[in-house]
Amino acid sequence: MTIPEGPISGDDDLGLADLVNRVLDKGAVIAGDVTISVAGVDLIYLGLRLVLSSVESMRGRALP
Amino acid sequence: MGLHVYCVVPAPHPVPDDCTGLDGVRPRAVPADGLALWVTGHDEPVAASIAALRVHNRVVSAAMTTEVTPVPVRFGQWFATEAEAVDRVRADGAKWVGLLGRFAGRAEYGIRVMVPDRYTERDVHTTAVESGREYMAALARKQAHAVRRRAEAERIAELIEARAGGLVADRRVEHGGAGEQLVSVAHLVAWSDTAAYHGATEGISEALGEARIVLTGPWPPYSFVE
Repeated sequence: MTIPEGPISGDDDLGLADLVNRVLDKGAVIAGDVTISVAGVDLIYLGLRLVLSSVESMRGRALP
Repeated sequence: MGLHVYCVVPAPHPVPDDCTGLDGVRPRAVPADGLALWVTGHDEPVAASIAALRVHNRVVSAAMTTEVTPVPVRFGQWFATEAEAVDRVRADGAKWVGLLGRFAGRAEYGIRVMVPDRYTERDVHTTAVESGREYMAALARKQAHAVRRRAEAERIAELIEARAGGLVADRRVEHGGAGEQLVSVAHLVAWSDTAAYHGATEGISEALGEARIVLTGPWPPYSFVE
């Protein structure tokens, strides 16, 4: 049995929102925080919560 | 050189020869007590971009076979050393084995439902509000609209469940979302049920009138990793 092809994949424009939602906001976190950089600005995931903030500004204030 | 991690797989599960990762680097499997991490080495964490997300997903998808479904790792997991990554996987070994067992022979499919939302923020904020009473009335309209959208989302989720629920091993339902999105459903479906699942979902759009439906997949089971 081979893997069946699907209706839309992450390579399709229609699947782009699903791709971003899954790859950036879901999936396993092996350890600690997930840090990504978008257009030169570091963003940081804390646990399962996406905090849209630069790492520098996060360091300057306590989380709620 | 640090490591970008794509997924956790049972070992051995070799990387296909034609698989290419971020920055054109060929992924390799790093063993860890009966498991393995698919990784690529980079001098610094790879920035997120649409292209990078697609490459990440392609590598994880390349690990999918009819027997093995990887545990997909969220983009951005970065380890300074191989030893650090292996230690962390070993520490939660039972969790990874459990997830791999649950995912084996299955894949994720997505159903996203968009319904035109004729309400706009102007209804509250730019209506000629001249008194507190008018403003409160506008807020009440906004609240009532949210309740209606929520009820519609629940109705659609129930319809999807009625059509496809018997063919899925697990599901995740999210109400709301960006823009016109009203509800998003992720289904974990056995490969052997894929054809029947597609048949069940194809008729959903006809039952939803003006709603627009996007069916996606198969995906690695990103939505089912807790």
